[in-house]
Amino acid sequence: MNSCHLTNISYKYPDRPKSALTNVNLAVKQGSFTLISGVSGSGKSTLGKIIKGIIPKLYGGVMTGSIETDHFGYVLQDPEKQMLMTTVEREIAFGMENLGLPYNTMRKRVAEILDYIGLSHLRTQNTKSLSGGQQQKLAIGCAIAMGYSGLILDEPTGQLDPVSSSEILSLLKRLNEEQGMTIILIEQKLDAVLEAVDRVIYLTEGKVTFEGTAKDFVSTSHEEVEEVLSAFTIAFRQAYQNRILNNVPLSVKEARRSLRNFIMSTKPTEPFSQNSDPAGKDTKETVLSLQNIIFSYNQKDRHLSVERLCLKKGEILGVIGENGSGKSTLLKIMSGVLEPQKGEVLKPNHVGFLSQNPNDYFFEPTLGMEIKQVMTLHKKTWDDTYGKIIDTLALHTLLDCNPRDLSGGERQRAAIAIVLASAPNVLLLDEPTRGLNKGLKRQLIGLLKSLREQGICLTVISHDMEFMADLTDRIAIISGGVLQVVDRTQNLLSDGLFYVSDFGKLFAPYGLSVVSSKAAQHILLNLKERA
Amino acid sequence: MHPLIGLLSIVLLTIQLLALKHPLTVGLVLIALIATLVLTDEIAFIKKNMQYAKWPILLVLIINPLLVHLGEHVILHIRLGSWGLMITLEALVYGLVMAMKLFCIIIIFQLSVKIMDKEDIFTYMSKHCRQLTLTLSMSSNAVDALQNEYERVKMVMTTRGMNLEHVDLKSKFKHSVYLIKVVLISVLESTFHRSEALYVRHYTKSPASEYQPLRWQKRDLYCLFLEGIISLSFIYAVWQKEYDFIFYPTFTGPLQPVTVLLVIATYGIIYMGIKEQKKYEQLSFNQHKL
Repeated sequence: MNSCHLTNISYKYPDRPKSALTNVNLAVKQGSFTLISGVSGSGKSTLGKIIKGIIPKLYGGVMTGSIETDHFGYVLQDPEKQMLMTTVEREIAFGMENLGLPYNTMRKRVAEILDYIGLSHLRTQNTKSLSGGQQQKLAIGCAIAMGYSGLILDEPTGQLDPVSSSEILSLLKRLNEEQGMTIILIEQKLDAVLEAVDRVIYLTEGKVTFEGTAKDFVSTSHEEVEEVLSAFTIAFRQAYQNRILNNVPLSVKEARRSLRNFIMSTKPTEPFSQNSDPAGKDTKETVLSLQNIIFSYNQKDRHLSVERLCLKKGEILGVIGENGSGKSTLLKIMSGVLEPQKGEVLKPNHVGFLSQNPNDYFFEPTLGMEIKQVMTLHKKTWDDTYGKIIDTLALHTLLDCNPRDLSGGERQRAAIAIVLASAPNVLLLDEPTRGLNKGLKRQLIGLLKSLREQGICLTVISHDMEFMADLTDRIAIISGGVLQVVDRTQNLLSDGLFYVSDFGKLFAPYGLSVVSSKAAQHILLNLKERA
Repeated sequence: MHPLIGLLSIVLLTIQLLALKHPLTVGLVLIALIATLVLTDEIAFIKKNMQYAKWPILLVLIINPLLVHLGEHVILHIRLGSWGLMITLEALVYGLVMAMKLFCIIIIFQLSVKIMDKEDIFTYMSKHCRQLTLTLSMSSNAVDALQNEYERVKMVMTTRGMNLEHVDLKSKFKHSVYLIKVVLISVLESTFHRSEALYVRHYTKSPASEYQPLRWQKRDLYCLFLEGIISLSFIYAVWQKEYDFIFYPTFTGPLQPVTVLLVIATYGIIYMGIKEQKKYEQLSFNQHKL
């Protein structure tokens, strides 16, 4: 029995020349776990909103085709924007109040859901004081409370740290397996999602171009899927295509099993080749430094404390930590936007800063004008460097568009281009990979590395461990508002518990310190030679 | 405090303030308001919110004496050929009264969240006037968003090289226009996200029920009775022209004690509301700690 059935759905947003969806046919079985994936701007969110009925009701536009669906709960990408009430329990009850449910039913359900999502100890807490992960769990709880048999989630882990992301995914698995809930997950970050889902639907420019199981999806010849697959899956996909392995593992556990068999059968006598990636130049010139920093937003609580942090010329420093741990505050202090109450900040005159919200960078009617305006402000002239930025970020076709009309990933790229247009000495990027697919991340890594070659030093905040492994020279971990440790990426990401790349998790039991995809692919190729 | 009593108090106080014209009475209202805030430890809350309102208040204060040249008592007269500037005491006092009124009204609206539980107001209004609450919810969210977005966009502009503290007035104006544009668009986007969040939670689609039913306390009934008497007295006082006061050509009209008494009585209810709300918040905090 189907929970949702779409026939020949086409949809065009108002004032847009192209259709967002074209002839989409889709059937989602009751109790199934379906993944809708695709690159940024492919129409994933539009499809989810059509199933929920938000489109065309709130957005307008023209929709054709027929749609039959059960009632679905809907969880938006940004957890903070979904919070409507002040306290946790009232937030859960809000949807039920709107449905007019009786008092006793609401009381019982709120208690059950708080226990189920593990937030009962925060019952009377203010929703604004919750962490991103807790807010997203609460948003899921609110949707479940309304008693729907299905749930649509639009990139629910897009803004969360790895710990919170894995908690959200476990919660979804439990809802699907224990409660029989139909789950439609819209996601382009497929790190740990694939092993949980029953079916994958892949969209390309508003059309369904793949439909099948996760196993078929990772081994399909459809080249564009590599844009959404994790570096981990891509490495094993290539090993499968090179006939090194019989199948493509969907999880670290599965990969470890097939690799263990392989390694046991090949009986290696010498260690595998190690990562040959450059780990950054150890130059002596310090460009930016923080010493004995203490910062507080309200003069009462200490929000950030940094004993010592130096950024050297041509270095890329990564900053990781849970949501709300003080990463963005650190960047604001480094950029000079915030002044610490105590301590010393030594920084160059021109520090570029990319905030979390790309919309803050759009003042002009077109992207081209936007970039030119920044260049005029900083007295720069148009040369090959800017052409390269536009090329790398694939913005050629978007220069005449209003930046606010672009999709999430396109907007992020546009904001990066605007910041780069000022040619800064130090570049600080707060979650630059948000909304970017694999290919664009790769291009961004290339661009940032080329900036490093030009002597610019960079600091990047991201929850994407693969991106950090491929890009950074050193990584700083912030926890509870304190800069805990700064070490080389290779050391930090190869033997951690949560802040570790999938390759690190996989190869650590074999005594191999592997964090980047290049090194992993090298090892897998070695396996072939040994075999 | 029951949301209905809280809303009635705010409306009553605002109407009284709009009707008041005598400079001394308006000044007294301002003093009473500040005293209420000091007594209830809410002065910091108002200070924070007033930073955005200070410019319009200043504008109201300055513009009237500059544009209106009526009044008998000239305190400054400058002649520069065919152009001249005349400031009269009456126009200056009128501007001052209007600025004080604006200041008081802003504080009164901000006080509304201090005398009632936000969620109680929302639930109460959702039940009784659904569509209006939808508009109010979006508007109140826009005000919240305006403050947050302003700070964030200002920070981004500074890092981008746009100096808002520019000495050059033309550049300062241009950059301020950018700031306002982005802030307003961001506020609209934030309001749209709220409407999406409300839509997915079935807001206003069917008659709502209450998770925490609102019950009338004895104190609420006393307040309602008192508010009834104040309202009737106010109407009677307006009918008797007790609120009349003329600024031009010179100040005309006595200070009527009844108008002061009515304002103080309404403040009494608001003061009680703030105290009660604080007790309720403390109770919730203790429950959370337990």
